Amino acid sequence: MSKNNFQRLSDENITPRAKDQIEKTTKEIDASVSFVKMIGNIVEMYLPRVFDVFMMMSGAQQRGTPVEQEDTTLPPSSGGSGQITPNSGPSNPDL
Amino acid sequence: MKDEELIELYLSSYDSSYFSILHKRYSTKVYSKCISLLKNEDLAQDAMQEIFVKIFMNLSKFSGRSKFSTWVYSITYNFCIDFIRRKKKERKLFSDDIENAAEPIEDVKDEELLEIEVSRLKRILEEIPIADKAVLLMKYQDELSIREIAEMLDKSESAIKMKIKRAKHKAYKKYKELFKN
Repeated sequence: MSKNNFQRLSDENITPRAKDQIEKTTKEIDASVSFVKMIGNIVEMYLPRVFDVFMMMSGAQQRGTPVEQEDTTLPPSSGGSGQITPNSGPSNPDL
Repeated sequence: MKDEELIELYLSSYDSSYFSILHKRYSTKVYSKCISLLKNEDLAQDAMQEIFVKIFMNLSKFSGRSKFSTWVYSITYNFCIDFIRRKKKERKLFSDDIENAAEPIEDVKDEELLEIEVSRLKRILEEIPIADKAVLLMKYQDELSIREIAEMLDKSESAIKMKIKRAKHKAYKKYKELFKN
């Protein structure tokens, strides 16, 4: 497709110096894009953990960690308290 | 590969190489527009960098309603016009209020403008107001439709038709002043 004079004028703006500047800017933009991608990766990787840290600081348990309860059914020698609690025996003592 | 396909691939993978292809496709055109409007190579370089950062940051907002090239040019023109407006503190660069409505407008045919020699055209475009230059570049350099220009400048189609008519008139008047006398 043939170019009109307005389009030829656009081509004239691209001097050798302009080509160097475009090349330089291309490198800078590539570096910026890679940097943004790297930041994105870091955020993606660490943000859930940061959230966990805040949760732990506020007194909550870490996500996925079961709440530890003292096993009252074990004797003291096995790490239990040995105390009989109302929930320790059969649900119906008459049986 | 089409621009829209590259955008889709970039957004699904965030692989910067896809954006680099888009950048390479448009860097020369964006730079050329920046230098036409800003008239300074260093400013054009800074503007180009900021425009591509803007494109990169807003790529996910590209809806595909217009062509990608139109979207890129829209960001470029608006950036340069904003820059000049800030520099000149001219708040109503595209306002119709500042047009001299009383002046009769000569209807200039497209051919009459397109036949002007490149070096003369360059001189004419340097002499007319930036807003007139921008609409002429959109119409004749980028071959955008009236509807596309209206969307880019957030104006009605009839306002754009009038704007182009005035810009053609001013350009041809300047041509006659500079080269026909």
